[in-house]
Amino acid sequence: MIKTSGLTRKYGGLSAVSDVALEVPERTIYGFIGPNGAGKTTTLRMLATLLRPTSGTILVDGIDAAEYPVEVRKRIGYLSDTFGLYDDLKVWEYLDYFCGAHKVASSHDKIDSVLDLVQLTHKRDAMVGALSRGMRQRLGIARMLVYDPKVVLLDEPANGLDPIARIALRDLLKTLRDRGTTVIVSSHILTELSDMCDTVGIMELGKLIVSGSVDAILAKTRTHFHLVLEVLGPPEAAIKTLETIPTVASIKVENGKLEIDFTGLRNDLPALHKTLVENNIPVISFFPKTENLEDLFLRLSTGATN
Amino acid sequence: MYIFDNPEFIRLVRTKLRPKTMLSYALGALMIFGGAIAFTYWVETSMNRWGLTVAVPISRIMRSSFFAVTGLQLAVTALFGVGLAAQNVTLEKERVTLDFQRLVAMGPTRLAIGKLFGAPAEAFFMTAIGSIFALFTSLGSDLPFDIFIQSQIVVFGFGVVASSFGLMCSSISEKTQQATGMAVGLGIPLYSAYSSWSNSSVWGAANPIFLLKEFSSGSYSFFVSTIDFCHLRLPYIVGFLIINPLLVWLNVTIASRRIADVELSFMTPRQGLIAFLIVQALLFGDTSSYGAYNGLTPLKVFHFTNLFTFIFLAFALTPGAELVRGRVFRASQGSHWKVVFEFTNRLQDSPSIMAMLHLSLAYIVSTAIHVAIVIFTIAPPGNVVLFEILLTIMNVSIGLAVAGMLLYIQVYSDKGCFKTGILLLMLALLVPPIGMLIATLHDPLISSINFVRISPFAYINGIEKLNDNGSMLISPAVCATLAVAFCVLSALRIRFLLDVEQVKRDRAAKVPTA
Repeated sequence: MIKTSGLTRKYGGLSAVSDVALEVPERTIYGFIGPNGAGKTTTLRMLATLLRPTSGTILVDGIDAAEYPVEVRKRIGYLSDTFGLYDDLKVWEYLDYFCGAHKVASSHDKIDSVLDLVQLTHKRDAMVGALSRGMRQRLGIARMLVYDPKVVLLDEPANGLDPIARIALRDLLKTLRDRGTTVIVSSHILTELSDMCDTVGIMELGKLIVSGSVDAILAKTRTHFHLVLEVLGPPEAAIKTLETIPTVASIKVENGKLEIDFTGLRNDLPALHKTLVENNIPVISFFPKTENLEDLFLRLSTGATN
Repeated sequence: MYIFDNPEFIRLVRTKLRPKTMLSYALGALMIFGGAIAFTYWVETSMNRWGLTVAVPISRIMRSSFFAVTGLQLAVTALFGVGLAAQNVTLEKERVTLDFQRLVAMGPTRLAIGKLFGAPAEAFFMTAIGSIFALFTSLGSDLPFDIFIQSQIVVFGFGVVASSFGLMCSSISEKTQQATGMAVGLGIPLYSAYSSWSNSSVWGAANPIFLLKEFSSGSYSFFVSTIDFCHLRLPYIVGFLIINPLLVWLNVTIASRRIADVELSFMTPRQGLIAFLIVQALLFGDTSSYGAYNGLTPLKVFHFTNLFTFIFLAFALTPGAELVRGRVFRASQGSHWKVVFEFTNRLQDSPSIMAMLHLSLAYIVSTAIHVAIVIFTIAPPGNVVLFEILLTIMNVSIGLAVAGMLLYIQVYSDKGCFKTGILLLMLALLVPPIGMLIATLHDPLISSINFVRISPFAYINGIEKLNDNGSMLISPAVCATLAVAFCVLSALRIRFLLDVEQVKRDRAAKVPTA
């Protein structure tokens, strides 16, 4: 659905985004991860045609964004991290405005269905200025849904939301994906993304370090396993045995459990377990620690932005 | 109708004219216009109360009240309206809502038209209430009814012009305060400057104050009080309706471009050409009044106007610095001259030099027509053909020099291209004559003819004073040299930037990946 190549944006001499090659398939939720200042917002603004790339190309649904921005805009919905609404309009008037602006026919039916989707039907006649932060966020998304864009770009959508509002937002984005919309969502709160994203891209210093599904990236980038070993009694004997194995890089005792840095392959794990048992180590539990998005980010990020 | 189903217009009216707000504006209008009538009545009858004059007839009081109300309507629609329009786009920027407007399918022009009529909705509403008072006083006076109709066309028509100017200022400003200051501070002197040119020409009839003054004079008559345009005698209101829609078009064009993308030039090359041709058409339409001028005045008016038009177009056709720098960074090494003289129609990120060269051709053709008209209509003294050629060369060179200078600033520094450009232009145009003036005051032996040699304004105004061909050539030659110099400097700077980029790429290619 979205494909970029060599995407670069410079501000004077500073490169905010450098040579980004991105590919987002249809009907997915793609998460943009990166610290503040990594270039996520600039990239999203370029994808939304609100900012021209200094160089590189953006294809949205096969259309070149630089040459045909008007056509691309018909396919894109964008919600920035700090966005305004027209506080002096009623909720239905606000959506009616965007229905008209996007030339959507039978706007009243559309407004009702969209309000239902974002669970704001009860606020139909309320003033926009009187809505809570979470409701405003949902109204911002409803604004995009009135014209059914193929791609929805959300920049830090969960900022300032309470946990219930976050869950509602997550469910809403999943519903959108299931309806056939491609969602690109940026955040520096990794737990928020890990629950909903099919694929992720990690950005740092304007560069896309890695992009793909979380499992694929883990498999591609993992150079060692973190194992957790619990033994009956004092761990000294186990440590002594493990120290003789060349694929064990380091051993750390944490809350009575051993955390092992294992540089071997996944297939070597049964042999390691067998060695421990053969050396009469009373193993209670032995399992590889699961890496999440946060571990992945911390492992791949150089921390240079900060 | 096109405007009443415009979503932006509907939104603004919904926001601005809710029942409670309308009531307060209606009360405000009642006080302003009712107060104006009461005050006029008091003034008109005060002499009589003191027993100094005979009783004033009610029709005269109503007539005075009518013009007081109409004048106030003009003030409300122009000053209040321009302020409201000037806040519109900047407030959208400050409230972070403009991004969403940019993405809507209705397009920036329709959006700008919605803003044009919707942004000053309160001012139009108050003025509309004023129309009731104006109608009442008009019917009670001895004024012909067409005066009421014409004055309302002038009031509301100028309201739209003021709104378009405010909107344009708002679209090119970052802050509301800056936009409002620009709209009020620049609008009044700019409008006064061009419309006070000649009252018998189409330009004079564009001025609403002039028209209201004419309507109030006892000698005014629809078919007798006329302007000369294209050898036709036209009523004043026609002159008003010829010029002002063009101004609205110009302002809305610029505003819609800036709403679409802040980095785009104010106008496309095609729009620039249309604007230039409109100015030429208006200038040629005014030739019927050439007989009233002496000597070389028509020639000077023609080239003065075109000098300002060319300088304006050089700025208006220049895209934002980031767009041009992006174009430069995408160029291949060694293609620096191509970038300088490129014309990227769809991407609209090329410098304005090529567009200005096209406009220069249009200017040359226009000058040729003008030469023929001048010679046949007034046969002025002196070598008119030579003067026209030299003035055309100078103006074209100034236009190209400004375009080249803006390109050079853009590729040399990161931002502030327009501000730096205006500053440098002011320095180039104003410092030499001011310096010369100071020198002349200090030493009377220094001839004032030196003004004419070094200042483009003085050159146009006093070209006939230069009695030898060598002196005549100085100003055009200097301007042409500047145009060439800025193009060369820009090309060299672009070559430097491209070389630096190549070095960076080479270095990056040599660094082994981790």
